[in-house]
Amino acid sequence: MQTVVNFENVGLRYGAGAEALSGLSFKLFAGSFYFLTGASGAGKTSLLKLLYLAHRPSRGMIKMFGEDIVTMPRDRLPGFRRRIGVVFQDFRLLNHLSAFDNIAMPLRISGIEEKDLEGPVNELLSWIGLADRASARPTTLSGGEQQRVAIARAVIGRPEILVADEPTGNVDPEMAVRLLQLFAGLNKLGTTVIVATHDIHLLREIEGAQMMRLKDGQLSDPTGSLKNPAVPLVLNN
Amino acid sequence: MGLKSTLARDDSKIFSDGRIAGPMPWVIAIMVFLTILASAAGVAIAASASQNNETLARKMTVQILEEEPIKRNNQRTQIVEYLRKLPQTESVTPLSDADIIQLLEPWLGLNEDTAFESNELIPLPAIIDVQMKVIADEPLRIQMLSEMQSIAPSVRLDTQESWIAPLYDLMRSFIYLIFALILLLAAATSATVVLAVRSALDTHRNTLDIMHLMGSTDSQISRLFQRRVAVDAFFGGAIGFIFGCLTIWFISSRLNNLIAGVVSQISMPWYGWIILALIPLLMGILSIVIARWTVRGAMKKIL
Ligand SMILES: Nc1ncnc2c1ncn2[C@@H]1O[C@H](COP(=O)(O)OP(=O)(O)OP(=O)(O)O)[C@@H](O)[C@H]1O
Ligand SMILES: [Mg+2]
Repeated sequence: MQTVVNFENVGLRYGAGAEALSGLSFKLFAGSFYFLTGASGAGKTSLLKLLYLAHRPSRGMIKMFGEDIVTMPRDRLPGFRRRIGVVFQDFRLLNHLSAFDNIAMPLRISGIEEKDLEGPVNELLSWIGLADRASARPTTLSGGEQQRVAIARAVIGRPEILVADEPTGNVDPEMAVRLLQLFAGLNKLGTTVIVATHDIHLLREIEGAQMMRLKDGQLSDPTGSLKNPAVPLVLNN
Repeated sequence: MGLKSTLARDDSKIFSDGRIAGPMPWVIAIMVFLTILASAAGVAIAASASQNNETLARKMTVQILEEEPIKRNNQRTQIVEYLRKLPQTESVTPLSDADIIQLLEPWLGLNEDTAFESNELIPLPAIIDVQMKVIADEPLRIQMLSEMQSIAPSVRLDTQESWIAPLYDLMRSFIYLIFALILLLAAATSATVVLAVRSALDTHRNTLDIMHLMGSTDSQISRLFQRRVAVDAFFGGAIGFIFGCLTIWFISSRLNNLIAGVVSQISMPWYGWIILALIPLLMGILSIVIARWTVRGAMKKIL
């Protein structure tokens, strides 16, 4: 099984404060589904930021796709970011753009021609049930609709890693399950999915998902709360 | 890595507005306008200095301050004759009364009609332009003066040198001043671009952060700004250029009327126009480079 992410003794410190993350060592495997849980302030968002290359760790080693991204020169990082899809906790859709243009953004950044991106974007729009809202601005969409657009934007580029921070935070339980099914579908196509969530109930919805639990910035042993983990979470120590 | 680093040409799909907001194009128009005026003055001064330098140094003026017109005319004729015989003179040109009036007109407020009426009131000197073959040295000038004084006691011999030398010093200082001025204008333009781009970076912060996290390269992002700055700078530059040229044309026609005869006409040499045409272009390029540098500096601060 291929390792896509490898953390070794990683720490993250904001400014001069205490470490928000410390001594993280683990591996994530291609095509697996991970839940990241932990109390508020435990460091979930911080860990995801390291995964989507918004921060460099203050210590330790991180390899992604087999390459050391800690010492990697800045100008090589965009190529890696294009292989990672992100759903932000607060969506972070661009309000001056239509739903279509929001979803198309990653493809445009990758330099896909206009004629080649219309098909995939429209296809995804109908898959998330928003085909008729293609030209709507995010501010005119409901919370759940915005969330679906945010997810569509994260997956349009067929990322190898999908990172989602509380993607079900603001929706009703039914919608939460539906969104999760969307991630599961993508996961079946081979994408490694990491979902940070508070919602313990969700953990049972994905067959074979694994749990990473953060406590005070440290990764605690995965407990038996997951049923039949197909691939156990590998801790490096 | 071979990342495709261009974005769609139609980047209205990324930014909402096509231009960088604010007064930047107008500030650039003003800067280009002022730079054009300063450069034109510099070029005209430099050109007329080099053009007039040699000829002026070999030029002398003889004045006969005799008040009695008939006497003055006789003296003039004799002195012209004497000067023409001198081996060192190249040409000797007595100015006609009309020339003299025209020459003095700006100072005395005369025009041809009133001048002839007032001929008795304000006696005009006789003026003879002398172009030497060489620059006259001191002994030669003393010899010429004494010989002419034997013909007309009121004669005066002026070399242009006496007032040309400080004039050239002044011209040189002007040119340095103009250089300094142009540098200041370029610096002010750069500062304007930096401020405009920073405020645009702020306005679009959210968009840029998202683009950055989705894998936009710095050059993709800076090109978004460069393109807008280019449009604004060339628009402003064109306006500044047009007004600058109109102003130069207006001023130079006025100025040439004023100084006619003192020095040869101040005019823009052909290469002057090329320099002026380069100014909006160079200002545009400067703006783009500064925009690029500003955006890249800002992007480097986020990973
Ligand atoms: N930009 C920052 N600057 C300074 N400290 C930060 C910053 N971001 C997070 N922290 C601190 O790091 C710790 C972990 O924060 P983080 O956002 O990762 O927690 P979290 O697990 O995502 O919490 P939540 O469930 O509430 O979203 C917290 O103590 C937080 O105060
Ligand atoms: Mg968080």
